[in-house]
Amino acid sequence: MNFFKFLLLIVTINFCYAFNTDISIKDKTPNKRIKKIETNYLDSLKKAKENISDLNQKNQILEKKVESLAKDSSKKNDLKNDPKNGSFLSHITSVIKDYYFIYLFLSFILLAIIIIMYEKIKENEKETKILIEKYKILKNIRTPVNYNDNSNNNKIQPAKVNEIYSGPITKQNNNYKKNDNSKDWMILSASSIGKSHIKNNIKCQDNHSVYNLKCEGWGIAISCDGAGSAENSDLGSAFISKNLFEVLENKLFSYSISNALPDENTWNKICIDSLKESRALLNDYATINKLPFSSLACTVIVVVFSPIGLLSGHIGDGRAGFLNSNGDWNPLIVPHKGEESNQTIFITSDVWYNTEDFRMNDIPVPETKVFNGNYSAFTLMSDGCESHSFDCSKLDTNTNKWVDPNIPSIKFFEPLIKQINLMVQNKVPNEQINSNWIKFVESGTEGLKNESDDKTLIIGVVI
Amino acid sequence: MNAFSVQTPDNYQQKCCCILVLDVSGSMDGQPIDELNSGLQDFYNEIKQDTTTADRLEVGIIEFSDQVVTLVDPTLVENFDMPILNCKGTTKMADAVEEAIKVVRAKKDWYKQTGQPYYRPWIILMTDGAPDADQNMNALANEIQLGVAKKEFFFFAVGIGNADMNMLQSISDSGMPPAPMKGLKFSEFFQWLSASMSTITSSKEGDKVNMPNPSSWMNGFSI
Repeated sequence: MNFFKFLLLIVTINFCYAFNTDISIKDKTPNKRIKKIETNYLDSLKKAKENISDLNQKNQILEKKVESLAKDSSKKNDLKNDPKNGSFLSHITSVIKDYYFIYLFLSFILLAIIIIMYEKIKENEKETKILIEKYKILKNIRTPVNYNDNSNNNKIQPAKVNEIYSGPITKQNNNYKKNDNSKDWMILSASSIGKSHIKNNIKCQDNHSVYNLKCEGWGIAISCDGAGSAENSDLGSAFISKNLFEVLENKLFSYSISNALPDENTWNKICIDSLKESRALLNDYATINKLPFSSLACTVIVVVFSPIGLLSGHIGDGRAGFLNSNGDWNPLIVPHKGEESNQTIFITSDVWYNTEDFRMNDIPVPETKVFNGNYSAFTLMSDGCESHSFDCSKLDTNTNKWVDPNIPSIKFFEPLIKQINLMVQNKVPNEQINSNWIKFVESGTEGLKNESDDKTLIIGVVI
Repeated sequence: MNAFSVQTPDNYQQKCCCILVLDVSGSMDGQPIDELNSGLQDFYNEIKQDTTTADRLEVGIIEFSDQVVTLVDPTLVENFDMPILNCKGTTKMADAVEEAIKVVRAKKDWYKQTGQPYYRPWIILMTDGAPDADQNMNALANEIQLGVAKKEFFFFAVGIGNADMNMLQSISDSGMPPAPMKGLKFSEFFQWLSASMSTITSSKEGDKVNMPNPSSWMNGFSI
């Protein structure tokens, strides 16, 4: 035990000695030195720690900077890179991720707009389809110029109808249904421009048409006078003169096939319905061609001829009449006239369309008539021809007042019928008779030659 | 020679009364009165050449200076020669137009009574546009515009020389503005008459009546 105590002592002494010798070289006061060293060491340790944290902070900042720089450079690289390598896509994805809600919102709006637009287009298509459907037969008149040009009438020729427009009509087509009592007709028609329209370089605003129905001896003649004051009345009169035929043809089919005339009331209804239908189609025509409806204003007179009698209907002025089996000329219509000359009503006027039983100077608009019986000639005309062929303004010497007898003038029509029959007997070609007729309407009398208004004159004669 | 020969029935033409109200006041002396006289001759000749218009148009002439004088009662051109006008006195413009309105009303009554078809009458004022101070132009403007609105007549003012177009505008209906005499084509002007008018006379009061817009026709005679 003592040995161990002794050993420990020696070691301790030695240790102390060794320690002391080491220090003794530099300082003679070892305790003070140790303390100084200790404080120095602690100070430097503290500074070092501070530096380290400082550096750590700086390092963090730098790291962040490096990171952001790296991001930037990768962004730039992505933009430069081909999108196929994926970095662009991943960038987009990251961007989309960043602005997810905004993108979602915007795409919703876009979708909504597309849906709305699609619906609108569909709606428009539907409307256009309806209009085009209505117009399948009359598609060609979308270019109004053709429509008014008689030479192009093959374009608007109604299907399966033997039409001889502006020319003679005779019983020629053997495919028609035979009627025992049908007659041979020579029907001549012409529209000629008036002097004032030539001077003012205005188109002829009169138009007419004559068509056979699919039944022997049946046909329809229409005369339309475009209003001088309406800008596109030449188109209106051209449209109605063709279209009214198509409308009437269907409605009269059963009558013509059975060779029977409708009674007064039925014809009145058929005629008014047809005129209203034609008016509605004219309205569509105005819409399609972007024309004001009232600029197409025109009058209309329609005469349906058959082996058993005549049907007539009209809106506006002009005249129509027929020669009965007793040799008397009778009027078929009473023109609608206003207080002043040249005032009349048109198919485009709202007032007759909207008013039940509308009358002008006590004449119903439209006015219709049925004549059952034998007749050997008929005529219809625009007002440009009336004073040259009708007794329409006479002085009644008893009362000293002017009256309108409204009778086709025998002085005018008797020679015409004779001359037409003579031409047929002499086998003058139809084309020649037709061109004679056009010349006659142009300048056959001094009055017709000098007439300022457009002239349409249609005559049908049994031959 | 036409292949068809017929006789024409004797019909009386529908009539159109046209009153020319002409300024012969002192201020018209010189070039203006010459311009007016030559315009009247053109008018007369052009009507005579156009047989239809000649048969329809009944022309009346009223001149005014310090007096209002009816030179010609409304009659067809074949029944009178166009007078040559001389200048004198002052400008009783309103009195002269009032007189024309009276003549037009009387003529229209006559047409109606006798059942003659007729066009709406015309009153055409031709002046250099300097009425006397005692002339009530406001009252005249009212009467003209009311008459035009009621479709009693058309009123058209023609300015001669350096006419005061503003004054003429103030008495005219807005639908038919005044025009200067120079460049006025009378023949085209009177074709306007024979153009089919789209007015409808409806049986019911208050129905919409479509009157043609004269200004669209005015383009026809280069104002």
